[in-house]
Amino acid sequence: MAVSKVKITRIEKGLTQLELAQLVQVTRQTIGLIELGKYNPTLKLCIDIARALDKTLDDLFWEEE
Amino acid sequence: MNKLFNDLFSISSHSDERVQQKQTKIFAQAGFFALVIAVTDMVVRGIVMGRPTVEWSGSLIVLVGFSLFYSVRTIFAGLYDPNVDEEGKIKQKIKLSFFESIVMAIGIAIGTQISSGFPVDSMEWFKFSLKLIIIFLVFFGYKYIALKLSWKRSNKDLMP
Repeated sequence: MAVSKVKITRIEKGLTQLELAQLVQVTRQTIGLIELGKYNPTLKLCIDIARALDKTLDDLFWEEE
Repeated sequence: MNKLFNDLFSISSHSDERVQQKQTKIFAQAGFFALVIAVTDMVVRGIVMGRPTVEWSGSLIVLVGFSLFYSVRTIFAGLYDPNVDEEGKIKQKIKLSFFESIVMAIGIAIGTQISSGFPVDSMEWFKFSLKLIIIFLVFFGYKYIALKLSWKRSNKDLMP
């Protein structure tokens, strides 16, 4: 499975899953599941994550077919 | 009012949406499980074993309470009939409910009359007709109010 853009960006930013989770007020497990593609976050959470990582929604969540 | 109701009955206030979703789902399943137990109790003790009503009345209260709560919440959430999404459909649905209620009223009125026999004199026919009208009014009235109220609630935030 391809490594998710969220995971790559988070690591580039030097954040742990727990730190990102605290920034967007969710549990670490939720971030882990989003990175694994096993949880579909709401648009609100996607925006929160994008803001926390200084990226756009397209940068993090858009996948080319 | 709606906010107070939502606060009183909020099942999960966790900040994580995934946890909230899971907790809400688990609570819904637990509620449904309780309902299944209540219905099973009513069927086994009430119908199979023929025990007195007082023994399984608690389960009946659970069933009635659950049904009332579900109906009221569904109507006020604007989800009574999610397929009704335009003015024309609501009129169609009311027409359909009108005929459904007539059929339902006739069915129930005849069904309840079987044990006591069919009316023979004018007074009995009058009572039978009254029963028919009351059953129809209750069914159609409920459906009409539910449809209208639900329609209003589902469009409340969309009104300019």
